[in-house]
Amino acid sequence: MELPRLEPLYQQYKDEGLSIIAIEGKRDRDRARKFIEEKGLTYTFLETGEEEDNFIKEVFKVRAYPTTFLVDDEGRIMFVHVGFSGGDEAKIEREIRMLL
Amino acid sequence: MFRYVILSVLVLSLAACFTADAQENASEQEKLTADIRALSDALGDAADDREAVDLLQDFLVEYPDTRYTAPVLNAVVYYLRDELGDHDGAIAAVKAHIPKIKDKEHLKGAQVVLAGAYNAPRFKADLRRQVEKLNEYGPPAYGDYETLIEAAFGAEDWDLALELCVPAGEKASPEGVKGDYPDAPEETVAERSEARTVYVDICRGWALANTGESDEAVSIFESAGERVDRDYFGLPSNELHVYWGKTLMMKGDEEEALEKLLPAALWAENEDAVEAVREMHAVLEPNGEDFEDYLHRKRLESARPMESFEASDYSGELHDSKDLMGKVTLVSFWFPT
Repeated sequence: MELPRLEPLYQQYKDEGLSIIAIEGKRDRDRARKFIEEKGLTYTFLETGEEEDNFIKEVFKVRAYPTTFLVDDEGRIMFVHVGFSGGDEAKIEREIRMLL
Repeated sequence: MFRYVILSVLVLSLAACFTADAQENASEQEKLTADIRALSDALGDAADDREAVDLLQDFLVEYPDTRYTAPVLNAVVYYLRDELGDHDGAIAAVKAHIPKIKDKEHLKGAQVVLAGAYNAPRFKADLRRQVEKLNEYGPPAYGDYETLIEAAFGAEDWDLALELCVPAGEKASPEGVKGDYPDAPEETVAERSEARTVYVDICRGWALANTGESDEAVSIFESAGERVDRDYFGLPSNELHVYWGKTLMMKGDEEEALEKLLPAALWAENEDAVEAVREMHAVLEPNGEDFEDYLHRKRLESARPMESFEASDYSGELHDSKDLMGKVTLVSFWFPT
């Protein structure tokens, strides 16, 4: 599961200007809140509309979960990564360091 | 095939199975469903790929012959072959498991997984035999043909790939789609048929390119390029640009090849595209620019701005994406498991 693995990245780079936003795609609010609390995640969690009105998903044209985007300080999407498996956080960290 | 697709295929096939009808008695079925969910979660949390293989193998020991057998074997192959580089081990694992399967449908699924695992030139003869053997189980489904064609590509058996594109094309026709989804509305049938047809065309193009017919291949790719579904970055959802770009490379048209391959390397993390671009970069930029720096520079040149949006957090506070300017932001789309 990707979200707990993002927390150490957030702790390490937030003072250098990294923010993390997690958008829950299936609108399963109760399970989502429980998960966030259990795992002690401290970055920002946003809600979006139901399937058809899932406007943020449309903004990013997300086709699969999880999908991770990196947006640079000028608002450009600079990196997209679909799926999450062992070692992916190292790859994402490398990209973050390039942007910071 | 893109690495993430393999993973999401596993996750999707597991998810699809949750809703499948129960043939076994209810409590056994419930336990199996709970265990497959637990397996899916455990894979996400596995410390490394070896542990992932062990988790999958443990599952197969407990449940040797279920509708999950083929997708789980497929995941074993993915971790062993693609992540751990143990191609022989991957094949051996599937072969060792096949005798434990009695149900004919489950067995057919496992035999397709085995065929898919023969995707290297040294397994060319094994792949041919395995494709032959699959006839014992009746005609393959459309998805099976995709697996077999990709295996033929890996085995560099272009003639086999071309042969397989014929029945795959029939399965891609509206009639073929209706056979698989008898209750689907016309519109859905038409969409699926188009997506399948474009994919089979692309495969045929790539096989033709490798048998010296690169002009014909390029005209197939051009036509597919007008019909294919595209993502946020304007990239096709399949390998079109990779095959197209590599075909242009074969023709010696490196500038146009780069135009196709770079987006796939930058925005789809396609490893084949990255390797092809690396090859061209070495030739086109001999002045020693580091490859990673080159990719970063190309990203800056072609990056698209994020559209703005507003959304609330769980405490109801509204957040505006415009406030993110000046910060590097990681945006993750997720769902709780």
